[in-house]
Amino acid sequence: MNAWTGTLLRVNLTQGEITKEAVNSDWAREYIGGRGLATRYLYEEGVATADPLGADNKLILATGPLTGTSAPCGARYMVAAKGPLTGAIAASNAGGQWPAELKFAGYDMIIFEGQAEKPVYLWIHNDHVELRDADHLWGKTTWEADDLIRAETDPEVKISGIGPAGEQQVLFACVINDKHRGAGRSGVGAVMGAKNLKAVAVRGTQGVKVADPDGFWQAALDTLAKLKEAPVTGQGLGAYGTEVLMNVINESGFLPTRNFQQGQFEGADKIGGETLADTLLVKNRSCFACPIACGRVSHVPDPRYPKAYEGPEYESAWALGADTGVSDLAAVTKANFLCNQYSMDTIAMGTTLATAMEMYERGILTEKETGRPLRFGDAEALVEMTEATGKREGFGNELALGSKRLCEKYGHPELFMGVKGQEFAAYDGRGAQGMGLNYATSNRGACHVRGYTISAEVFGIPEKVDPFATEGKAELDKLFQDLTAVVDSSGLCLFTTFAVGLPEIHALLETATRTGYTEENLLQAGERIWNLERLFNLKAGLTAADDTLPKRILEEPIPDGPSKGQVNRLSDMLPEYYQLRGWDEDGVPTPEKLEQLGLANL
Amino acid sequence: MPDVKFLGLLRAAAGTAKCTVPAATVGEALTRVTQHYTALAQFLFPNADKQLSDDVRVLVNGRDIVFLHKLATPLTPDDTLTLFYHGARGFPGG
Repeated sequence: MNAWTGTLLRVNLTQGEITKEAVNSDWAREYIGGRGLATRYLYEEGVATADPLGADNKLILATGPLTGTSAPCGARYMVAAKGPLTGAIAASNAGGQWPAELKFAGYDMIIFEGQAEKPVYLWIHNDHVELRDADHLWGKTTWEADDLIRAETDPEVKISGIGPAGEQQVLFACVINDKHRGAGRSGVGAVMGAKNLKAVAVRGTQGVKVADPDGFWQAALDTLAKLKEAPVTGQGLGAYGTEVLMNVINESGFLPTRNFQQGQFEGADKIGGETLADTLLVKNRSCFACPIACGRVSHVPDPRYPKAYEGPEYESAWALGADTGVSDLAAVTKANFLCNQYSMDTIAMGTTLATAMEMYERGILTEKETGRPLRFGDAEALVEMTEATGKREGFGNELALGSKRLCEKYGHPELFMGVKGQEFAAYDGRGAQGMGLNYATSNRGACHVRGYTISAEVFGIPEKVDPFATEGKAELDKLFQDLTAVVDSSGLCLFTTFAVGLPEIHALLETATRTGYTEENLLQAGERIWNLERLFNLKAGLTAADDTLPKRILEEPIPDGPSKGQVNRLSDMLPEYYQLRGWDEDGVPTPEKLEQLGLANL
Repeated sequence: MPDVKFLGLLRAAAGTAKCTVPAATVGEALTRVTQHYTALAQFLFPNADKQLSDDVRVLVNGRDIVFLHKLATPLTPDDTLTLFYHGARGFPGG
């Protein structure tokens, strides 16, 4: 195999056994890598019916064939498992340096199974792989643990792991690598914590072979040129990061505000990318082989939070800012930093707190439960509650449940703003109909990066479509979802797709692997991955009834701004979406569709 | 007079977050802002034909002008124009 290393590590934490296996080469070609290949293994190994926090769940850290190559932005990996927040397939993506280092050590992926009796970490140094005691690391933040592991292994080690939130199984805990990069969503950090696995430390010194070096190099240069030429990747993301979206979405009228009670936030500009660049930004930070450098290294010149931090990026600033009504960028940046230190999904943290704030303001929660006033706009509460959640202390222990369970516990499930147990991201599906459909149908619960229809609904890429219209959105969603599955599985960053499309991605993958990829069969691979995820979820007990949106999004019009009067008209889009997918009216793939995708035997 | 808001790179080019401009249509407003903030011209009208760049989106009260009357969209004194430069290509056509 080329581009793939052809080897995976299987680590049985219960037995303390480590084995090296050949990667199934047929699956690698059919599911590409990363998200697709990890899901294939999870499905095959019966994880769909596992207890997400039990020994029978498995945790896979998987790179793609382009990870660690000279493909621009070939820096990504996926952390996949059955998600504790959703009970569905969970696959969270991150960049940084760690993913490439795993390839350099000679492995495409690691499968963790079972549960360690006491805390451990995995140390990989090329062929040498061992489980090490992590008692002394348990309770440490991701940064503290990173420094300690570095001191006892190798100065050049790359580390992916969890902080106290993952250890204590905060249901939206994430996995942080390289201190600043998060496989953020769906609670994969809680799965790692439940396995008593603190970290995976890697040092690799080998290269990644590609099948056609000359062809691949040309494909990489072509992609690089397009990334530099396109203003968004050549200038915009570097100058402002994803945070440039804050004002754009606010002006468009679908910036979810105060738990989706409004569509515009009066403090958006104070927490947006322009203000961040003018006030806190120190420099950019890039992942492996990335010419974009969207990462933000920020310094907060505020005596309350006197440190240098990373971020926030747009989704984090929205969740911790607009959704909680907080317009204090220093506090938002501090809360973002705490999420990285404790290993928590910034989106779920902010949105769960926003839900609690709405319940407090409605009198459903009182200070008796929360321990302090919890009103929208309270920056001090934001920072205090984020830290309490990371420690599972006081009311933070309730917030650790995530928004859905918190709402159910206090008798108001209708206040949960999300799908399949996972909270929405930073776009109100009432103002952007295609994003609403994408949220409803996303296999890992509400997720903006499973099908980023905002490209078309706001930016006009590939063509401008009316965000308020439902016509054509089913087709748009399916296309974006299938293409994204390809990108997520390849090892490329999704941001490359602001500059390049399927032809360039195909050129990279085919020259790297020479396995007969065409644009057509790659797109079909994306559809195969999407359908396999659907099969996983159906096996896990999810049904078409889970492909829906909260009552607020379906029935309560946005009360203000440019999207005033809009609700999401899901029922106008979902039947067509099922039909285009080749699913029956119950959302189950038809035998014909499964046969077409080579999934009939599953 | 209508307000004009600049976001992202256009804010940096204009050197201001917003202004007001006497204009009866969107086209007139864009002509005036590029005359006053000359650095905006390379973003809004980069070619000799002086057509509005596809990389720029123009909103009137939050609505993209492609769903209104494009550059002929009439303006009232209470209207707000928002201009941003996205410069995206790619997905899914390449």
